[in-house]
Amino acid sequence: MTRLVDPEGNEANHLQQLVDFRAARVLEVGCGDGRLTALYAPKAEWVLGIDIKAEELVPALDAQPSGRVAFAVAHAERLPCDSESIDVVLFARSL
Amino acid sequence: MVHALSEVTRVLVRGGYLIDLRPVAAPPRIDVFTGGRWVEACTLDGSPGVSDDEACQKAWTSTMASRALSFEVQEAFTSTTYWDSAADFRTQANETGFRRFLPVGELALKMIEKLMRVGGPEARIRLEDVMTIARYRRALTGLPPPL
Repeated sequence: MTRLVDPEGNEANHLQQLVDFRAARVLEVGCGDGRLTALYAPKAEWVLGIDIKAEELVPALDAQPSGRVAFAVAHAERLPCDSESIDVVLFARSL
Repeated sequence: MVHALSEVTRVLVRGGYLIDLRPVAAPPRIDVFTGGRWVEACTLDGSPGVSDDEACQKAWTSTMASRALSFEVQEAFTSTTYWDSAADFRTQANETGFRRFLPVGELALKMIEKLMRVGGPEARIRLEDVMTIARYRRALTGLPPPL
């Protein structure tokens, strides 16, 4: 371990108490290395994680996400999604 | 920020949820576990983020006033990040930094390194954020925002 974020799982616990990800189409804004994405993605129908910094996405892409999970470089002010196509938008430390 | 919230209301289905997970504005403290206890090393300086917070609050106020999103619930909790190496902490401090906070000063970095040396193999660094998580819901009725 060199850097460990929230090993107690507080973020994940509160997140999953607040929203039901089952069968949800999720857009995560500011997903970074995909740490949170990995926690809820197995429940979701599909997930698109975006981050403004390409280098932040490298670990997420290296984790070889399944076909239901994708990552892209994009800005929150120009979301790469159709209108009324997302069930849950998650701003993860990004507003 | 206003545009980001406008985009969120555009892409969300009616009745869909926006979850906003963020650290509170208060600058977090950095502690080092050394000699069997946590010792305060420094507190990050959050001065540059004040204008960002104000802009963010204005954007939320505007969005709430439009009734495109409605607030439902908010909770607070702590989220902790640990480093077990002063060198890794220094790398993050110098290369990435800590969100909107001012860089950690050299004096504080040296203090952390000293505390880590004294603490031996069990020593580690922690940064504890107070977080909020809030849920908002896209209005079920009404026209969608303009494209």
